[in-house]
Amino acid sequence: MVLLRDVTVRYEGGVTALQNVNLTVEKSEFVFLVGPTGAGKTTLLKLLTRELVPNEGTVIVAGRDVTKMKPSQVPYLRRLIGTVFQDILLLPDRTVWENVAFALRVTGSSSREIAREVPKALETVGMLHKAKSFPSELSGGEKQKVALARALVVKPLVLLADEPTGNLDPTSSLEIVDLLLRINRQGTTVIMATHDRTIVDAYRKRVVEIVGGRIVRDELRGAFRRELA
Amino acid sequence: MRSAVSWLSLLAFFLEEAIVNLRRHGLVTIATVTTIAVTIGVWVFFSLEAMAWEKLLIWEGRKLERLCVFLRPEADEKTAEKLLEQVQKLPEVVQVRFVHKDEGLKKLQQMFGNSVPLEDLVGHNPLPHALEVTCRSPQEAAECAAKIKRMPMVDEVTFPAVAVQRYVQMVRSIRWRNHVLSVLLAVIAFILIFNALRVSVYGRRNEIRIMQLVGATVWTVRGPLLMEGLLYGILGALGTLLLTKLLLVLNAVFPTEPTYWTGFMGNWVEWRILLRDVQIDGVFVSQVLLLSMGLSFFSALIAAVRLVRAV
Repeated sequence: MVLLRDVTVRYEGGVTALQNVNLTVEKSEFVFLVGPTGAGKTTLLKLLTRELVPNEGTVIVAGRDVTKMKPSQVPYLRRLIGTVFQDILLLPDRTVWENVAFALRVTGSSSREIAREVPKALETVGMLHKAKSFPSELSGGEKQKVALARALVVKPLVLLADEPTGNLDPTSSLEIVDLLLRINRQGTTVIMATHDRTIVDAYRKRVVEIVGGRIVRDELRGAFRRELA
Repeated sequence: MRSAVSWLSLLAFFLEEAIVNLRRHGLVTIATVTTIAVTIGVWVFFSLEAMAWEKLLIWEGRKLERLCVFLRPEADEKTAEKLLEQVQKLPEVVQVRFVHKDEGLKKLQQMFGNSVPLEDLVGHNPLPHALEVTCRSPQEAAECAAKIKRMPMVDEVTFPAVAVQRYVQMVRSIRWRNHVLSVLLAVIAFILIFNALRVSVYGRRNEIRIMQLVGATVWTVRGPLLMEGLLYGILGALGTLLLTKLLLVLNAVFPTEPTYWTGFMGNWVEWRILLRDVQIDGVFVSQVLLLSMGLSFFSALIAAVRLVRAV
């Protein structure tokens, strides 16, 4: 589903964000991306949505070579990818329903499709009962669930979550990761960048650790820190 | 390919987003719409002014197109008739009239008044026969006069040469001034629309980021901005119509004699004289709407392309 081959990203000013990164993520896999701040986790996720283009190497997402893609094709790539962030980007003057419907409206879905898909997505994250609420009336965890519903409503093949629990309390964090796992079990590939040791240690999923722009560890049932054999 | 339904829902989305934005930045909206209204208003008045001057000058020009051909004293009526036929064949000539020397004397007598009997003073009629020639336009008068001058038995051809020259210059200068001012106003309106949309893009940065992340095409992201431009155009046109209506009402309440004057930037006509030809009818409304929407949409198009880049 995702393939990075010899990928190097250098920012202006000569800072190397990723160096010679090789990574394969299969369909329906769940991957925790761990590492200290500034290690290159966000850069790696931005390569997949083609917010960044690598200086060297190849990035393939869902069979498409992202590095050779024309700008006009990028929107169609992004329709295959759902994204959630630490800073939950909800539109404050719109209801929960409208926030989720927004993703469908801008991709040209009909009202009928919107009426069919929005409740499904809200149901999946358990927020259908708050459909008429505004973001200001929701807790941090609830807001993140709405953001997740917005990412899901377009039925992505890959879900990228960049520190989705960063601003949440432990209970809400667990709820969000549980949701991501449920979505993953339904067939969506999930890549989650996180700092949260408790979560990574609790779920024992594949862990890819990045330090200083290099992948230093890739374990199938890993912990947050390297464990001594 | 998108279905008609999805196009419609996308258009509805653009419209909703544009209205939300116009409301969100009320002051900017008012400033922009007012500028567009004034710009279009001035454009309309310039074109009315051009029409008013042309009307005035066509009327004045009637005299400027007229030549007076004096025949030699020895030329008789037969010669004059021959010459008339010849002159009539010139392409620039619209009409020729034979003026008998007695008729000429009568006209002259009228000009001096009856207190001085001219014929008594001189003893005989000193005037030659003449032809009154009307050319197609004042601009052609000089050339026409030169051609007639070369004909046999013609003594002198008179025409208001200086006036013709001034007339041509005046029309040219009015046109130039209006073109320059129109372009200046359009540039000001463009800058304001561009800035209004820049504010709008800043206000919608979250929407735009989400749109780009969920896979909206670049033209879908630009759509609300274009729609905003169109709405500015419609509101601007309404402003112009309101302004015109207000001036018409004012004109009806305080009627005075219209005036023309010459000032710093050439010749001007008082606004009241322009209003004589104004009628807020279907043609006027559609012209104002077209101008306003065209200007706003064009500005919005440039702004949208500059402000929202493809990924």
